[in-house]
Amino acid sequence: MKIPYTKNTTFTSFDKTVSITTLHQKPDRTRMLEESITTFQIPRGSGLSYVPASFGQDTLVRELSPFNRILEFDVKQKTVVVESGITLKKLLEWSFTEKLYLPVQPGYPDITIGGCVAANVHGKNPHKYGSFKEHVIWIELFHPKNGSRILESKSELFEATFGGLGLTGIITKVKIQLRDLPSDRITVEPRKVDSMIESAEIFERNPNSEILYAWHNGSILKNFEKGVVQIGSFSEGFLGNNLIVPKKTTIKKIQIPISFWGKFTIPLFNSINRNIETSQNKIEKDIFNNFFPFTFSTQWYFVLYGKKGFRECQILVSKNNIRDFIHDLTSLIRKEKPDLHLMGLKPFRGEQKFLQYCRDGLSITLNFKNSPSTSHFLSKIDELVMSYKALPYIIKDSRLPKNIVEKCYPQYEEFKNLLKKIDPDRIFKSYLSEQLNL
Amino acid sequence: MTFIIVGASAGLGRSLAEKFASEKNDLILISSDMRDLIPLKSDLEIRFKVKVIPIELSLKKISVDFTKIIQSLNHISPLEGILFPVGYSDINDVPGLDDTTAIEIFNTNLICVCLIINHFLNSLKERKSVIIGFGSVAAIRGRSRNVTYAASKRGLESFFESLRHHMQNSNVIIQFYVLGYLDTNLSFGGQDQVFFRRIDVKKLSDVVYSNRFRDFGTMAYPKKWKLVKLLLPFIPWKIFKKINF
Ligand SMILES: Cc1cc2nc3c(=O)[nH]c(=O)nc-3n(C[C@H](O)[C@H](O)[C@H](O)COP(=O)(O)OP(=O)(O)OC[C@H]3O[C@@H](n4cnc5c(N)ncnc54)[C@H](O)[C@@H]3O)c2cc1C
Repeated sequence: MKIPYTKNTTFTSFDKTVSITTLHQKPDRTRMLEESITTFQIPRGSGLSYVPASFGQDTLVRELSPFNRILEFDVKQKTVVVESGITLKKLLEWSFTEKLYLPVQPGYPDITIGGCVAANVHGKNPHKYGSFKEHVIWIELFHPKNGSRILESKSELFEATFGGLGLTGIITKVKIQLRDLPSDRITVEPRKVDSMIESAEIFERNPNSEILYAWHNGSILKNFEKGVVQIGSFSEGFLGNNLIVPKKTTIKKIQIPISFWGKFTIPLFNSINRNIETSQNKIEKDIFNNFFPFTFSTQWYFVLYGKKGFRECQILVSKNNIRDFIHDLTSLIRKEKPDLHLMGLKPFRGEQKFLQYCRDGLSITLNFKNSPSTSHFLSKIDELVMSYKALPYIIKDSRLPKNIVEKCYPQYEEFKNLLKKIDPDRIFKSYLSEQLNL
Repeated sequence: MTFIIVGASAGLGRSLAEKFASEKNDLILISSDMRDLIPLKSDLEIRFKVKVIPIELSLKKISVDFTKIIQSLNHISPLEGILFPVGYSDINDVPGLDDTTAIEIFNTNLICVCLIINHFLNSLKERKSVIIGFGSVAAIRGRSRNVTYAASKRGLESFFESLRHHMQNSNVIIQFYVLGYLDTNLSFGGQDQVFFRRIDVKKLSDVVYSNRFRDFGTMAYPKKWKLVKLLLPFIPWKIFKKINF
């Protein structure tokens, strides 16, 4: 079957570890989107996932960026219906003018709402606001074989589509609950901490902060575990009428041949950064800067990993295992001495279903240089994750083995069965879904 | 003020609609599929607080039914201009094309545009206004591809030249852009070469908006196509017949 208006495009995962050339379509008319294309396909938002979730071998990539319009706005209910290709940036630019905002904002402004649903993303304080699904009233899902249908919150297919990695069909519309935006600025109080346990304790004492996360140095050479907790809350009132948005938000495409991050640069950079970040007791920044830190100079962080890219794994540990897990994790790091750069912490809350990354507990992110020793270390982490029945975040770790996901996600099989039920031919697939045997 | 945009649902038309709405203009949007116009109307009204009236109208067939447009003009701010970012091409458009497709290409790209202009010309004369047409570099010199399309666009350019001549002492400004290759879905599968780098429709929309009351007549966009427009007709046939573009 010849599909019109397609071309071959090389897609690369954000962590730069997987590249594939495959057929690419960017429908910009409803009739193109709803054409009954029944070849293997996968929807794509902005392609900002660390993992190869929105492309795959011999799979038609259907990019939804032209479907990025705001369809309905209910001032009283503070709800908005949008097309799934709308970016967080476009939504915030508009919602700012209505003094409303979406409290769950993953770290990059070009991420689409479709991508937020399909990964069930989280923001800067997942304990306070939960994950993305808690802010969605319904979604419209299109499947070339089954047509369009509206899925209300809590229905089975709704839950499976959140964190469903685009495998249940194409999300076309999303009805979102917004909240009042109290200010155009957020005041952050950075606090120096010496260990991850200390951060976890601070989280417990400040559960309702607008922003609540921490980063820790991952290098065991010097200052291991030392870090900064960011506690932020809205300032008072509005200083301006316009949202301050940088002209260009696209991620830098520059490639450096080798990684700048090494044994000496990591602890040095982290300790300088720690001192800079904590040089003031309070820092007031505009909301764009706070919601999307990676838009600015921080994006160099990724560039400096070089052309081999990086690895990230994010693990959600249940509330009652936090201390033991951190103890075992730090012991493992000390023993194995991996190319670990950063460790990020966020408190979490939520009812976990299907492949969703949420539950009550603590999320720990580990960032590494991509190297053979990292792969070796990550296999040890896999064992640790399994022994604690923790959740690995699928959208962040492109080497995650199938058996880990199968063991850690209690509804892995149910998810697969549901996919078979809605489409026995399983036309939606990606590199990631094949890797995880989904 | 209101602008009518014919061919507004995608590509350049949609981008122009977004630009003109962002500058607080009301719009009448015309396209063949209401399913694309309604979301665009909602988006523009919600974001820019302007009035947008969508009208489903296929230009493939004549005659054009003007009733909906006329009725809409009674419910919106005064008309200040009409833009025609409309285009229809077919991959089978070579000599020998079937009648239906050939007529549809002529109607969409040329005949209906002329009919709409003729119809609204008098009401546009009442105040300072603009009519903006869009041609194509494909029409500079006929090749064996896009045959009917190029012929229609060449005809359209001639129509706009005459129009400008005729309207020289009126309030109405006539503009015609001869466009290089646009970065839209129609060109999605095409090769991108340095000289033929595709035009970002958003940038083009900004240019069209800021130029909207300049009386420049015909303009090649991007400017480098002006040179091609000048030179291509003089390339000897022996060479021209071998060029594949
Ligand atoms: C700098 C940076 C910071 C980040 N910070 C966070 C963070 O703080 N919290 C967090 O949770 N995540 C974070 N992420 C990860 C990111 O939120 C997710 O990977 C998100 O899914 C990316 O969205 P996208 O629009 O780029 O989608 P893509 O990467 O294109 O696709 C992601 C998945 O969504 C599916 N999909 C996309 N659109 C649709 C659709 N319309 N219908 C059906 N399926 C669809 C795809 O098939 C794919 O499986 C971050 C990523 C980056 C690059």
